[in-house]
Amino acid sequence: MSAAVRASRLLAATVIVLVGMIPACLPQPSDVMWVRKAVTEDGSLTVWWRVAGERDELPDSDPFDLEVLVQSAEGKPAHVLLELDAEMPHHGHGMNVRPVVERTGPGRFIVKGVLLHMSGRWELAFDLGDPDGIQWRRAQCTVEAP
Amino acid sequence: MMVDCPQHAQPVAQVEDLRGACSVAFVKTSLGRSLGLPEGTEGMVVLEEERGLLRLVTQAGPGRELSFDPPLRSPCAITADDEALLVVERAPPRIRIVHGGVTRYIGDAVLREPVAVAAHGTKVAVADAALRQVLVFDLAAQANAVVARADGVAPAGVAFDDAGRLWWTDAAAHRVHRWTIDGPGPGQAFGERGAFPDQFTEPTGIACRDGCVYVCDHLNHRIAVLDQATGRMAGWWGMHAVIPRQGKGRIHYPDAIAFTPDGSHALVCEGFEDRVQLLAPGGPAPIDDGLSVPRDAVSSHFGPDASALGPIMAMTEPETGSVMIFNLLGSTPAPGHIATFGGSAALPGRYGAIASVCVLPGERIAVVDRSNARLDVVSASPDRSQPVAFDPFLPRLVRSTDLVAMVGSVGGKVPVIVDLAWDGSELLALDGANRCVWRFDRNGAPVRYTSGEPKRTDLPEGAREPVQLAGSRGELVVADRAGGAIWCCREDGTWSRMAELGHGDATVRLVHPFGVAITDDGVLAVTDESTDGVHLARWGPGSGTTLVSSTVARGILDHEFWLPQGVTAMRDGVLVVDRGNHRFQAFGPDGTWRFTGSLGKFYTRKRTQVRQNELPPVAPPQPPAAPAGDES
Amino acid sequence: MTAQRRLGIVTLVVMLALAGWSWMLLRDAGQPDRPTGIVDRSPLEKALAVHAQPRAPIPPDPTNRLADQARAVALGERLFFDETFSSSGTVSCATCHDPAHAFTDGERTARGEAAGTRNTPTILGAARRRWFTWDGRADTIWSQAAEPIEQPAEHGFDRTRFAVAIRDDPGLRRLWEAACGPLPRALDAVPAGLSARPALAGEAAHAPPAAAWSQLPVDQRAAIDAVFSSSMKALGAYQRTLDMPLSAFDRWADAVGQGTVSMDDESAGGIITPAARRGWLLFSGKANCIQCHGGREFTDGEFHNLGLPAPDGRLGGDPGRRGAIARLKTDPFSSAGEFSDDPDGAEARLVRSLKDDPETWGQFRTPSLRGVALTAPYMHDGRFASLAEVIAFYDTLEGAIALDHHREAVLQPLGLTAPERHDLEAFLRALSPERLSGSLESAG
Repeated sequence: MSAAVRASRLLAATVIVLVGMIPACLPQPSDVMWVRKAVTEDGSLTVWWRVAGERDELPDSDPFDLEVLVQSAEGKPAHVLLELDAEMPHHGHGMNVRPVVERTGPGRFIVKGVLLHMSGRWELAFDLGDPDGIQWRRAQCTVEAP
Repeated sequence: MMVDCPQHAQPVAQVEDLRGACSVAFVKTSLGRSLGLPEGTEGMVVLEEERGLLRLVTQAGPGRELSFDPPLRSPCAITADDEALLVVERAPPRIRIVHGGVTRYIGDAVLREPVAVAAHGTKVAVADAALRQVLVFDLAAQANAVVARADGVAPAGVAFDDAGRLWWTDAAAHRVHRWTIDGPGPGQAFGERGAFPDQFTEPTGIACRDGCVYVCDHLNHRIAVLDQATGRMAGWWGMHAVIPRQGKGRIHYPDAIAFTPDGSHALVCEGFEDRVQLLAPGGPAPIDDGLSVPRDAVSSHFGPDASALGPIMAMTEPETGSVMIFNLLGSTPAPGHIATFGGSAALPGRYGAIASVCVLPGERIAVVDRSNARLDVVSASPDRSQPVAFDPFLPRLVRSTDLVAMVGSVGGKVPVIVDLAWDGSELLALDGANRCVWRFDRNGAPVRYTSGEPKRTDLPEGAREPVQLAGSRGELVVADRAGGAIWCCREDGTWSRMAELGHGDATVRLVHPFGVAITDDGVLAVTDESTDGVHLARWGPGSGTTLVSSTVARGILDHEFWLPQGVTAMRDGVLVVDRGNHRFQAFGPDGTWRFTGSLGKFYTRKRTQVRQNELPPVAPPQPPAAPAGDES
Repeated sequence: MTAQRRLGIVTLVVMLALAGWSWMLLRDAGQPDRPTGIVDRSPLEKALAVHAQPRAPIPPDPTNRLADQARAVALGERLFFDETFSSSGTVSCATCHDPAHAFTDGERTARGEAAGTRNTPTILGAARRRWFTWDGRADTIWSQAAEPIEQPAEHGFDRTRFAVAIRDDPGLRRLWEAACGPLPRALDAVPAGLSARPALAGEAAHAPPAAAWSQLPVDQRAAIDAVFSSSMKALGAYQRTLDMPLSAFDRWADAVGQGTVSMDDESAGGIITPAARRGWLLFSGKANCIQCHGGREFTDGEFHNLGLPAPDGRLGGDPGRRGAIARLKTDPFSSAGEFSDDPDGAEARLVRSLKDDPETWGQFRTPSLRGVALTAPYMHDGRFASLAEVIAFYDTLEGAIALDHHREAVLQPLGLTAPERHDLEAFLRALSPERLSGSLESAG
């Protein structure tokens, strides 16, 4: 087999491998690493979120901001309203603050002033409203506050 | 002027077996004459809602039923001054005024669902739950015109103070309002939801006296005492009755309050307990008075509604604005408590005043709330490959619908949803304000016509007080409490009224039906608040009903009831909220008793007696009278 | 290429492609419900490791431009101990925050010009707090000082006399101007002896000092407020120097972190007592005190209702946090207020986003436990004279009001044995410095 044939086959194999990897990357935005997500119960909306700042880590009982990207099932930015709340259901209390949500782009938000004031398991609730505000869906996930 | 409002009150006496005692007024001799009572008669008049009558109670004890011509029509509230008696009637909705032996009415064609009345001079104030307003009529004005209106969420009580200011309660907004009717603006509001000082949970009846305001803080089980000048809470009377029938200063779901003319006694109606307690304002704090709740723990206080489907059952706890979820597929027949969600706040998934719950397919629960007028659908699907245990993280909100925006988009009134039911394909929402049933899919999204408008089924003209509904295979059934009947809507959209179940010798008459349910095999279950009755009848499309079983038994043993309310079809039968006993009971499709339960305990073998600290003994029940003047 | 090799390559390619899909599916499937904190040590080790880190310095206070200026510290120290600023001339900040008592007063409730209703918290380490006073009505250490000056039961003074006193005392004026710059000229016109301030919460607008305040020209009021707020900032600068020293517990945690002592060593390396070590295990384990008293400063910094009854056993009358949030949001001296040097900063945003929730009724701030053995008596109203009484309360919750309709349910009776109570107390004592440094004790 000639080197050219080998090279072309290797190239073809590489392309196939890369094509195989594409789905792993599709739903994610490309500019930042998003590893945390919450999905609505019907799967129609996905909330990708990260703690703003250099390290995507929950601080120890200090306020922090969240960067949020909401995508449709097709991976496109979703035109929704966003509210965020958090609760410790086993303790029967929520946050002492109401974070401020700012839209930063299509499907993108920054949620300012989240404060998980006790260590332990919290439930984050991303409430996603249709533009007319009649229907809201919730994507929720649990986090462990340090 | 600084006023020393009495921070405490001493229990003096209680009058029992006043069925559904929901309103009270004191009748002086002058008014007694006008009502045709024997000369010199004075005493309190208690409205027994479940019997549809007014009963005179004098120092000699409960006495005669007052007679009226024309007869009372579903009375639900009263008030009196020296000369006149005012009665709120629901059928049709209007105010009867009896003065100097003459009867007249106001509010015809204006009121929709009046629930309370107060009078001062020529002014008459009425709280209307369906209109979500307090309306003020002036008897001196032409045609008794409405001279002022105030908007609320669920106006529940009204009272004038000596200065002519109107104080009114908003049960779903958990506030008390002070309103100078002729003054500028809507007045001031006091309070917020909660159980601490200056907080209320569903305030209802209200009375003013000597610079103070007395509020029936319904779900805090106390009488809140406010200073009229500041609106601040000066103290509160009574405390939560831990178990049903506790009294002597312990209070259970107070509905209304009035005073004797000399102010020496407050008369507190507790319809839940069928009684009026007499309290003497003043004196030291009775033991435990002033606590949030008693230290000996509260037994389960379920709300009126229950719903089950497949493996899940849901009930409500009104005091905390919560929904409790039970697993029906445990190792025992008893429902196992697996999660609670809700709590008060104006957010999706939080509730200020839950109106109803309904289990949907796929282990989902629909919840409708009066405070924020939302319909939420919550998923609660435990991992059934493992033993199902309590998990506070289990419930997940799927969807929340803003009903005000939804109904407003088609020009409807602000909806007052009173009940939800799943009919096998759609979620039905009974709306008392728009007099219709709205339809939603299992995700909580409105079902729409091709025009885009939300789908609705209008209630029949004759329905007076729709309280609960059930649906099956395209048909639906609505319980009309004040109407003493159930309404059935066939698939073709025609309504028929049923005032009794069964036929021939096996017939039972409905007095105040509350809960309705239809089982998969076509059994219709109906509860009746007035008779403590639970009735099962076989029911088929286009046919009458055949009584399967009928239990009419007030009591505390198994297969006895005290204020049966919600009922739901469940695996192999039905489950009834035996609300006055703080428990639920399950029955087979033939009416066979299966078990009795509450949070943390249940019984599958019938008991001949119950523990002393569980439910106190009760006097033998008296047979209820039929509501006066009811048409059937 | 043989068919076998070709098949091998195709298989490899397909497997790699599948791996890509699988990775995506696994990532997506696992992510939503997985708590994001990675737990690779036992909870006790993790909790102890927090204390093995070097202690962070006092955090900066961008709302106070004078926060770290030495001249402001000197002015603040002078003001702190000066009894001039009180209606009787006998009360200073140090009256209640006495250095000899770890900057508390040792009394059940504070007593300034009159008897107060709440216990005096220490100000040692206060600059590390998020909220100040028991109900959090102040959000910075400098703004906290403003209200006591004017409260009748504390200093019973007012901002106008405060500013005029600085103006008219040459030594104090020099100190002030060195720290804060020239006094505003409009202050010159303010009459000596005038008592004027805005109406206090719940006070009628026609009360004499409030009426006098409303009659002052705007420029004079502005001058008084400028002097008063800068003085508070100087007081804040001084208090920022008063940190709570580290304790034997910190040395033990550090030794464990360094690996020189094992956490399982029952003798705790002789650094703390065996009882204190067992107490730590309880504190962080069975008793779960770290639920609220966690972190480096042994506090979550927030507010809780413990169901403490009034002395007559009934629901207490102090609304705590419920009454504070609305006041904080409108306080001109808060981080979000007009006198803040960072009115749009993180602290200001936090204040603006606070929920004014009915459920905050009766909540009080979780205090730090550093130096707790030095600050008796305890709780917001000083009801417990000793640590043993505090532990007994948490152990049984005896007498606590059952807050049934209030949802928070953090506290449960602990069911400790007598030795366990003793160990817990020993641990709490190990959180206190053996002695406060000479500079603290001799301050003033």
